[in-house]
Parts: sequence; structure tokens; C-alpha cells
Amino acid sequence: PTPPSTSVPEGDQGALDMGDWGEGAAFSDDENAGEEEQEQTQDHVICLVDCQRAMFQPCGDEELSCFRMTSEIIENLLKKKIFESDKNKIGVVLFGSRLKSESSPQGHVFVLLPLETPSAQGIKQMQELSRLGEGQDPDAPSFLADSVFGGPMDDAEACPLRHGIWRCNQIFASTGVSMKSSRRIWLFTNEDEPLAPHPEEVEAVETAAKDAAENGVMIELFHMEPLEGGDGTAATPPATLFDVSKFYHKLLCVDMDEDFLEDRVHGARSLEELETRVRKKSHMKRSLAKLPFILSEGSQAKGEEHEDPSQQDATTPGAIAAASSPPTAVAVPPRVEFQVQLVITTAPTKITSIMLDGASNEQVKTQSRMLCETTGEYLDDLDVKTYMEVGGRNDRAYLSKAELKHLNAWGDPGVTVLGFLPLSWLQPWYNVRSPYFLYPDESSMKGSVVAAAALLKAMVAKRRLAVARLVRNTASAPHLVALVPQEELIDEEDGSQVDPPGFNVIVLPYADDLRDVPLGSGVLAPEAAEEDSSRDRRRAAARRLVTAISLDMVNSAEHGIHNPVLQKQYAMLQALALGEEAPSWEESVDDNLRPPPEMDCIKESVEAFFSQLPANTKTAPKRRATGAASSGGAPKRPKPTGDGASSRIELDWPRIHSQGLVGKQTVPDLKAFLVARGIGPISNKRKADLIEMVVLALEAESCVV
Amino acid sequence: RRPKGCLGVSSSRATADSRAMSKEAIVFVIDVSQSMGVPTPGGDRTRLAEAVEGINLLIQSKMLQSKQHEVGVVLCGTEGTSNELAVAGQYDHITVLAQLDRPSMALTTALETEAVPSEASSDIIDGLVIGVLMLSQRTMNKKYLRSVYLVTAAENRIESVGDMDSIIDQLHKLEASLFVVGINFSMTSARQARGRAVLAAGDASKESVELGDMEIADAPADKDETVKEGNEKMLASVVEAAGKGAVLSGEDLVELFTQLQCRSVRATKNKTVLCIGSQQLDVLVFSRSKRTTAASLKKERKTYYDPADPKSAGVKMDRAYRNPKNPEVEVMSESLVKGYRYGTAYVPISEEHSLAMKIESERATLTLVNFTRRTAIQHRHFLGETKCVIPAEDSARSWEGLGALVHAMEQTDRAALVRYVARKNSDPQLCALFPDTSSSYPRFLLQQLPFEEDLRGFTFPSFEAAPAARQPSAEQVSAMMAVVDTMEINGKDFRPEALYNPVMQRLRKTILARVQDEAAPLPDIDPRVRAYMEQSPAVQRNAASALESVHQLFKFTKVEKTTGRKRKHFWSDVVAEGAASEAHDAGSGATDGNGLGPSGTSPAQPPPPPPAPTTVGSVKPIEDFLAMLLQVDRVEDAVRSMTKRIREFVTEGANPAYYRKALGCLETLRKGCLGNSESDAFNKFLEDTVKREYSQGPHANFWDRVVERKVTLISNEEDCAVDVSAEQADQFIRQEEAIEDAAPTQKAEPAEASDDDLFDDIE
Repeated sequence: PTPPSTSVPEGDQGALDMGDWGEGAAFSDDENAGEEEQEQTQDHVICLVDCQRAMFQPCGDEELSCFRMTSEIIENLLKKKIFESDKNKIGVVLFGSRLKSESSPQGHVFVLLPLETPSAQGIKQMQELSRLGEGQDPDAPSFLADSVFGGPMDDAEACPLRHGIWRCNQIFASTGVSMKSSRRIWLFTNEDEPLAPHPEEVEAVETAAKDAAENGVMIELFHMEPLEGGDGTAATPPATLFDVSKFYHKLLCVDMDEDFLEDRVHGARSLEELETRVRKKSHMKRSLAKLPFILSEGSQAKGEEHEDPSQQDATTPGAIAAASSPPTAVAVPPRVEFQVQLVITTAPTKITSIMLDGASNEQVKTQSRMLCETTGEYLDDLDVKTYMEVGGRNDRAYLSKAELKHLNAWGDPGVTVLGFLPLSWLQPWYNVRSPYFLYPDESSMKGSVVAAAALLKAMVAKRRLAVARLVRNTASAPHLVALVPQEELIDEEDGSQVDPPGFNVIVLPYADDLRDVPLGSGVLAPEAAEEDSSRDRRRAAARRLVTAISLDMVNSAEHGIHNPVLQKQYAMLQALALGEEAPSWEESVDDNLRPPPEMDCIKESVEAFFSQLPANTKTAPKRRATGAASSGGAPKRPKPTGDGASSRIELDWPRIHSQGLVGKQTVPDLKAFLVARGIGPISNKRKADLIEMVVLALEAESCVV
Repeated sequence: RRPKGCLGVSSSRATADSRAMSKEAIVFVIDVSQSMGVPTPGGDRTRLAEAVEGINLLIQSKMLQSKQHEVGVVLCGTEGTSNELAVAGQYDHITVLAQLDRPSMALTTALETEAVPSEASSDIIDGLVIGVLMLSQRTMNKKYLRSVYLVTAAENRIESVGDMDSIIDQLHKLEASLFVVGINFSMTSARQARGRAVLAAGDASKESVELGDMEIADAPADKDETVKEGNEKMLASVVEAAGKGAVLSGEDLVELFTQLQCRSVRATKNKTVLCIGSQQLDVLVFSRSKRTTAASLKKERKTYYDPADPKSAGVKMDRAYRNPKNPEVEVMSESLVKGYRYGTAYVPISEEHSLAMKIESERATLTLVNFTRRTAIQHRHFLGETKCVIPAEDSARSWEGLGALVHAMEQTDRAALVRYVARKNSDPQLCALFPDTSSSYPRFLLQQLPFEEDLRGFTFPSFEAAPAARQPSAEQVSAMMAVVDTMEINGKDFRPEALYNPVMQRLRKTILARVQDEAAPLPDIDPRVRAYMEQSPAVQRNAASALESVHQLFKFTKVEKTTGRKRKHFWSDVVAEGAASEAHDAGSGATDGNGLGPSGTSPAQPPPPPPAPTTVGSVKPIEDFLAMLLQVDRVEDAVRSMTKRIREFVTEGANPAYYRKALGCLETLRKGCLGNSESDAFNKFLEDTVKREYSQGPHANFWDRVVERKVTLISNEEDCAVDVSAEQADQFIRQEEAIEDAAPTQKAEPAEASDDDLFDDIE
């Protein structure tokens, strides 16, 4: 007999409810919605690619030409961006081409892809571009002459960088993109002095860059290592590095509050490096929230005002005197706060499906309405009230959505430090979601960077983390977080930033979120300890196994493993969109989340380890000795204790009936009742039928009485 | 209802088991005899009333925890008798108030009204017999966590001592816990003095309250031991013999269930296979840390609800799909297709393709991909909830295998990278597996790591390389160190394990209040919650002087949001500024860099005594133009250069911003020409270039602005040297207006650009 219940599994209740009521008020939903909303800022990029002859020489450590590398990078960028918001646009403009595109007023500037949402055709075009000129001699005058852009222009002509920038500017202006959106020119080149032979052009290029800046268009430089000038010995590695200060620094605009200089310059010697650089810039750095960082709530919390600076100055001598005297003299510390920004640096990437109208392949909008189950009428919010169910007996606690929101909120947004703890306090299981990152926001409050830098230094020196209360906005729930200091890490080889300075924000679980399976409840204790020798042998074999292979990585983000599902989806969708036959996805090649070939070499260690283990048979290990039930032999029905009751006593049926509990009795009890009264037949009856028979019998009896 | 097996065959059984185990059956046996009617010291309520409050809190908390929990109540010492064993004067004065069943709020109300002190008395052991019988009848051979609470002052003589053995036997068979809630017991008051640390952990404590914690108050070798003391000893020995349970005080009971607490969710263990090379180990995976969220609100139709019929007044959601281009017609669900956005296009996906896009798998698996150093796995890369990998039940092979691996990885400080597939056909994740050192048995922690695609790799300005003004001084750093030191808190108290979700706490309180009173106000945040969610006054006091010195040493100024455009800095400027040793002006970076260009100095970077420009630059054309006009020999150059610049702005800039700039230039040009006897040149430019070339075609927008600003030909009223009449000049732009009126209205220009911007350059 199964327990009488409408068995809804405990843990799944939330999930079920959410399935039923899509717009249910589960708190977590609100939060995620907020995160996405912030990411809606439009971001447009024009890749301005140098296609002068030097670009067709191999780059740095690679066999590929700089031009080929750039094309591949842009192709990958398009493939990725194509799934993002259709409001983000990408264009590709070549400068230094032999031909000019029809729309260009000036020569040697070729608009390869107009600024628009990435398309399958665009990706195809970039693919074709990267295959151009394979096996041809780039120094031949007719190199790529038959390509769309006519190959590189004549070396003697002045580099048309000015026109390139002008053209990008003009494209941004004429495509109708909002002045508020982010507009960037990504300049790909390997020539650090493009205008050396034509110094008269320098000023013009500079002016063009400044005009771009004035219009809010930002230029970012992705440079590949240059070749040594003139002598054409491509085989010898470049002796000089790309020197930004020779020319390009004049074009790069910096925002003194937000950025730092190197941030705009992205040198690369290999495809991989260039890809990393591009990836770093391909996400818009948007802050989820700009928040006060409250080191001390201070007197404000107590209702006093501490803000008036003149008042501050007046009290300063006193305060200092107090500080030097025993600490009890200063009862209430001042409020100390600066401004920070919260960003997401790591989060799972997904592409989500949408619903289309099969007839037209257009996206459909979902409209949900409430329907009365009894009458079938459509209801509006005024007809409906909301509740939460309590217990198993249909008790209802009425609570409106607005009230639920109110309960969820904490108050003013901010990061309020509650105290400092040793770094070792943070346990590896204190993790419920991906982390945030915190960086000072000088643009909202001057002095924030100094304060954050000092705090970072202090925490690193003291090996401490801070615990804080994070409230992202006035509607969001409070979270306890650990702020883990992160020092800046610079790549020693190329000087690029690997880790930015700031604080990792680890969202801590609450007690409500933690579960455990302790030994004894569901976990079996080991059988009686075996002799040490076989355990030692097992451990030694395990040790050989775990040290047999190793992936050398500096941190847990440097493994080079791509998401196989995402890669497969990219490939499938591209094939479908372009009407190609089979996608190019090959599990053995494109899924690199699988054991590497080296795993074969450790076959022996694996076998050696497993041969030490007991056979895979089910054993019946002892349960932990806690008042274990003696199985078997126990009578099904306990004998009631007490001298007056020696045999099984019949249930108080009239009372059970009067309490409406007949339905709760067990089938054997119901049957016993009926048998005792000679009511039948009872075999092959469902419980509901038995209940009905019992109720009828009881009602008949009560009438007689 | 969830269809069976949708979690995958492998996991469904394990799930069912652990869930069913969390169902609780609790029987209260409450003494309502005279001794319970005694008022509590200092209170105006009876002992019984206080005990009922505690019991009701417990029942309510069980109701909030789960719909499955069941409660039964036996009252002992009632005037009447109502129990199934009551035969011939046996088990008199014992009333079964509620059979073991799911409780409702009605039960708590019934307890308040029915459980009142009476004159009658009965043997509490008889009550216990009834209670245990109820428990066994209902739950025998089913999966329940069972407990019996006996609430008594133990002042009546206990007669049926002989029943004790059978009760204990029965409790053992049921694996039930027995809690004796002793009212005014001497032993519990002694224990209270020692503090109740064992109770602090809420529900879990029930198991952990060990008998060792009980002390039978050393009854002084007193001969005239009272009835109560004897009873207390006897009950304590029953609890001890029962093996599970404890003796609690009435205060304990209240305190235990007014504790901040959470819904106890048992971890769901999913069967998974750990694959190493070609070998496999059976393991279980459960969530160690997982965000708990509130259940969502349900809907009922107002005034239609009948409490007798839980299904009444139901509201269901009806979903309709509409194509925005044809919103009148509902798109039927059978014609809906799943698809993806691909740039501007949508790609419909057939069921078959949809499957092909997945990476299929047979079952839940953990596949070893590689090993690495443990220290390479950093907390800041953990992407989601924390999971644990433990040996499969009943498998010695799994136990020993996992044990050896955990040991070896701990010794060698290794972590494993694994491919984790949580269920059949679910998307594989990249995870790290490392020994869980907190566990008393061998197990791993499992944390999801980012793929390459998941890293955004943002860079932020270096603190070290910041300008000196933004570097903290040594003094500032040491002030911060003092703050870090003085604001240190105790990590033993501040642990997630002891900190409850404030939102859930408040929600539980609200629900309990609302289930009884629909209009109950929303409760405030519990002060005990505030205590850990806010800066503690003690910490503040301790750090006061350190914070004061930080306050003195750091200057913060709020930046007011400026609406105007920020000045742009160029890297070359910054570099030049940085090289302060050179006494050169800001502009030197540019001129030094490219030598002497034939076009001379850049107008973009005016040095302090500005040398007259020789051409009109594009950055500050109006300034340049006006400066050139001051030099008589450059007037013609200035006009020519200016017209060239305007042409460039219009044709190459070709956007509203440039049009504005060009218009400003045009107006300045007009004034300049008028004042320098170049009116013909202006008229010619306006007529031949501006009007002829731009009034139609791609730059018509610019011409519209010219008309709008009424920039027309210079007439002979303004300059007698020209032969354009005022009417002609008027007509020159009038014609266009007429045409324009007929034409469809132009697109409004972006709102954010104000006309003031036009003259930014001049100022």
C-alpha cells in the first residue's frame, strides 16, 4: 500500500510551479531579468583592415599571413555575434586595396561588408576572403588582382588610412545607428609607420581620428608584428616590435576616467593571441550596477548627519585627538564609502531558441491570459488573488505579488562590508552561482580608485577577504558575499593584462541552500577495515594513476576547452542558414571536452588501479549501529500494550466517521470492518469502493442507534 | 504532474527513496491534568497554554516545511474519554484529539480550545501507549521519520510502569524518537544553566541531542523523594532506553521552534558513472549548495473559493501565440516551430535537427579528461551550484575506489578535470573534481568551470600603473590595514551554515500570519536576521578610530553627471603630458613626431600664442577661419579653404553631426565674406555647390537645414557690390520650402543633439 498522498516530490515543487505559472513570482527570476536588461546597450563595430602588401606576409610566429589571420578572426567574431542581439552591427572595410567600392568617394577604400547585423552571407564572404591568395606570391604585381577588392594597391601610393577612417565614420553616421550606442573602429594592421613615406598625410589622418572621437567613435588598434622594411626576407623574424608610439598613439583616444592606455592596444604574434585579444574586446564591458561601497555605515545609520564638510573640518582636531586617545573615546565611526561598479566577467554562454510561426518563419509573441477553470471566462488581475499553500490540508496564505516583491527587497543598493576574515575561511562549497567582479568607479566618485587600491593592498598583505551584504538594486534580495582581493596579473611575455585588479564577488549560500549527506544517512559505513596492505596497495595504484597525466595550467580558466554543444550548434545553424548540406562538426575533432590522446598512455595505470578494487558485486555492508530495526519476525500489527488490551482492538469507527477520516484508514482495516459485519463482496474492490461501502454501513448503523 | 522517468531511468529510484524519507510523523501526547493548569512563574498563563504555544509553533513549522508531514494529538487527563482502547474503565480520561494526519491550521486552533486543564487525571503512560499505537498503526512498514512528544509536568503518580518495556520495544521497532517535554523538571533546569548549544542547530538537533547531555539532577540522597522526582527519573530512563530522543524543557520547545530555520530539504542523490579510461565506478551525485527559492504564488478566482473544495476557484494560464505582423490571428500551437535567431534571419529547426544539435549520451556520467594541480582550480571560476560525488550505496568497489582516489589526490594535491553529463542527453559541462576535506567519508566536490566561450576577459586599468595622483600613499595603505585588522569578525559565528536567508525567514513569518489572518500586516525583518545582515555595532566601535583615520586620509568627491560632451584625450597628449621633463606644450607630441609637414602646425592643438593657421582644419574650422581672416593676405585662402572644408563635411561626413558643423561653417563663411568683400564668392559657392549639388540627392538633409536657418544669398541690401536683390535672395530658399511642404515630412533628427553643440568649437 502506498502512502495516501498526492505525491509531489518536495524539492521539485518550485520547478513544477514555475512550469505551471510561467510568470510566477519566484524571486530568482527577477534577478536574472535584471541582468539581461543591463546588457541591452547596442554595440557596433567596423573592422578597418589594412590590405596593403605587407599584410600578406606571414605574421610573427605563424605561417599564416596577417591578412588571413585577420579574416579568420573576423569570421569567428561574426559567427559568435550572429546569435547575439540583432541590434549589434558589424562591418568590414579594407584600406589599401587596388579597387574602391562604388559607394566610396575615395580610392583604395573598399567596403567589404556594410555595417549590419551579421548574416550567413557575411560569414561566407569572410571565409572566402581568408582563402584568398593561398600559394600565390604576394610580391607579384598581379597578386589577387582578380579578387573583389583587386588585391593590394601599388606600394608607391600613400596609405589611405585617412580615407578609411573617414569612411568608417561616415558609415556609422549614415547607417542610422544611435548616437548613444557604442561605436568602435577596430583597426587591424602590421605596419607601425604607415605614412613614413608620406609625412604630409599624418596630420590629415590625425584630424580624421579626432573627428571620429568627437563623434563618439572609438578607435581600437589590433596590431600584428611588423616585418622589417623593404628587403623582403620574410623568413627572418621581425627584429623590431610594433611601436605604437611611432604613429598610432596619435589616433587612440582615451577616456581619462575609465580607461588606461594599454587597454586599446592589442599586439599579437599568433592567431591564438589575436583571437584572445579580440575576444577580450568583443564583449562590451557593461556594469550591472554602480553601487556605493560602504566600508562603514557610520553615524548616518544612527540618524545623524555627517556629511556637511564644513562641520567635518570643525570637528577634525577633536576627532584626531579622540583617535589618539583610547578607542572607547570614539563611539561612532564616520561613514566611509566610495563608488564601485559590478560586472560579470564569467558566465555560461548559451544560445536560446525562440518560437516561430511555421507559416512565415517569423517570431511569435506569447500572450498569456488567466482562465477561470470553472466557467472558462478570461480573468484580469482584479478577478484573481494570489496565495501560497501551507501544509497538506489546503490552508491558504493570501499574499499579493506586490507584497512578495516588498518582502524580497532589502533597501538601499550597495555593497556594505560586514567584516574581514582570513582567506582560508572561504570553503570550496560556498558557491551557488557564477561570481561578479568589483572595480572602483572613479567616474561617479573621485577618490574611489585610491581607496580601492589601498584596500586591495591591505587585504592582500593581511591575507584577508571581506564579507559584505550585496544589494544590487532597490528591488533585489540581499546576498551575503565574500570579496576576494585580486591583484593585477600581467603576462610577462607580451605585457598584456591577464587578471585585472579588483575584487571577486563570491555569492555565499545561506543555511537554507546547504544540504549534506552525512555518513549513516544514506551513506554506508565501510565494511570492517581490511588489512592495511591491500588498502596501501590501492592507494599506491591510485597515486600512480592521478600523477600519470597532468594538464599544466596556471588557473582554472586556462584549459583551452571549448563548449562542444555551442560549437555544434554554431556549425549546425550555419549550415542550415546557408543551405549547406552537412555541418562541418566532427565529434572527434571539434569536441575537445574529452580525454586527450595521452589518456591511452595511462591505460596501464588505470587497469592496475581497478584491478586492486573489490569486484563489482553488491554486498550488504552493515548499517551503522543505531537502534537498527530488526527486520523480519516483527509482527505486522503491534500488540497494544497494557493489561486491558490483549488482542487487537477494533477501531472506533463511528468516531472515525464523524471526523471524516474513513478515507484515511488502511485497506486492511476497511476490509476487516466489512468482513466483521458480513458486508461483501470485498475482493477486487478499489479503495474508493471500500470506503464508500464502509461509509454506507456506518451511516446505516448510526440511524439504527 | 511530472511524468515518471523523465529524470532518466537511472536516477528516478534514488530520488524517490530520499524524498519519501523526509516525510515525518509526529505524535503529541499532552498532559492536560491539573498540574498543567498551574500558572508559570512570572507569567499569567498556565503551563499548558505555554506548552501549547510551543507545540503549535512546531506544527506550523512542519506545515511550512512540507505538505507531507503528519501530526497526531493525544490529550491525557481530559474529562471525557475517547480512544480506541477505552474498554471497561481502562484508558479513561484519554482523548484522541487528532488522528495522525496532515495538519491544518484548524488543528492548532483546536489545540488552543480543547487542550485546557481539567480536574480529571490519568496515567500519562496510558497516553503514551495510545500515542505509540497511533504511530504504529499509521506508519508501520512505511517510510516515515517518526517521533513522539510527551508533554507533561509528571506530577501524577504513574501506575502502569509495567507497560514501559512494551512501549520501548515498540519505539525501537518503529525507529521512533521519544522526546519528553518536561514542565518544570529539575533535570532540564539544571541543563538549561549549562546552555543549550545542542539545540541551536534547529531541526537537525533532534538527532544530535544525545543522551549524554542529559543529567539526571543529582537527587541528594534524600529519602522522601517526591512523586515528581521519581517520575522524572523514570521518564528519563525511558528516553534512554528508547535510544533516540531527549528530555527537553518547555522553554526548549518554544525556543527550538521559534529558531530561525529553513525548510529541510534532503539532498537528492543521482546515480552517475565515473569513467576513467575504459573503467567505471558507480557513484552518486548530490547538490551540496543550491539556491533555494520561494515557491511561486498560486492564483484563485476571487469570491469563487469554497474551502471545502480545494479545486474550486481554480485559475489556469492560457497561452496564445501571435505573429506581431498579423496580431489579429492566433497562431495555433501545431503550426509553431522552434527556431533560432541567426543575424537578422530566423532559422527554423525541425525536431530532427534539434536532436542533431545536442550531444547525446546514454546516462549520467563523469568522464575523466585530465588531472591538474589543485591550486590551479580557483574559486573565482566556479560557475554554479556545488555538487558532491559520493560512493554508490551497497558498492564496496565504489567505496574503496573513491576512497583510494580521494586519498591519492589529497596526498598529491591534484584536481581532476571531468566532463559531467548530469542526465541522459543533457549538455556536457566542464567540471573540476577535488577531494572534499570536510567530509568524514571519502568524497569529491564537483564545481563547474568556464569554457573558453564563457570568459569575457575584461581588462581594467592597472592600479600600479595609475598616475601618481591615483596611487594610495603608504599612510593610506596602513590606515586601510588598520581597518582590516580592527573589523575582523569571528569566522566561527559568521558561517553560511548558521546564516538563514532573510527573505525566506520573513516570508515564512508572513505566511504563518496570513494563513490565520488574511489582513495581517507584513512582519518586520527579524532583529536576529538584522544582526548578521548589518554591520555590528561592536565591529564599528572596535574599528572606530581606524575608520576615522581613513575618513581623514581619503578624499572623496561625488562627480555630478555632466550633460555636456567630455573633452577627449588622446594618447599622444597623455604621453606628452607624462613626459613633464620636456617643457614643451601639449601639441609638441604631434609636431615632434612627424617632423615639419608642409601644411605647418596643426590647428587641432593650439599652442599658447596661437600662430595663425594657414588652412581651415576640420576640428575647429570656425576658429581657424576667423583667425585667417585677421590676416589680410590670407582672406582668399581662408574662403577657399573653408568652402573646401564645408564640402568635405557634407560629402564625406554625411551625417547630422557633420551637417550641423558644415552649417555653422556656412553661416560663419557668410559673415566673413560679407565683412571682407567676398560676397560674390559666397554667393557663387552657395548657388553652384550648396544648392545645385546638395538640394537633391543624398545630402538633401543638409540643404533642408540651410533653408531652415535661412542662410541665403547675400543681397544688394547687405552688400551693394552684388547684384542679387532681396527678393531674389528670399526666393532662393523660398522655392525649396514650397517643394518641401509637398514632400513627405523629413525624419526628425536625433533628439539628443542640441543646437548648442554647434558653437562648442567657438567657445
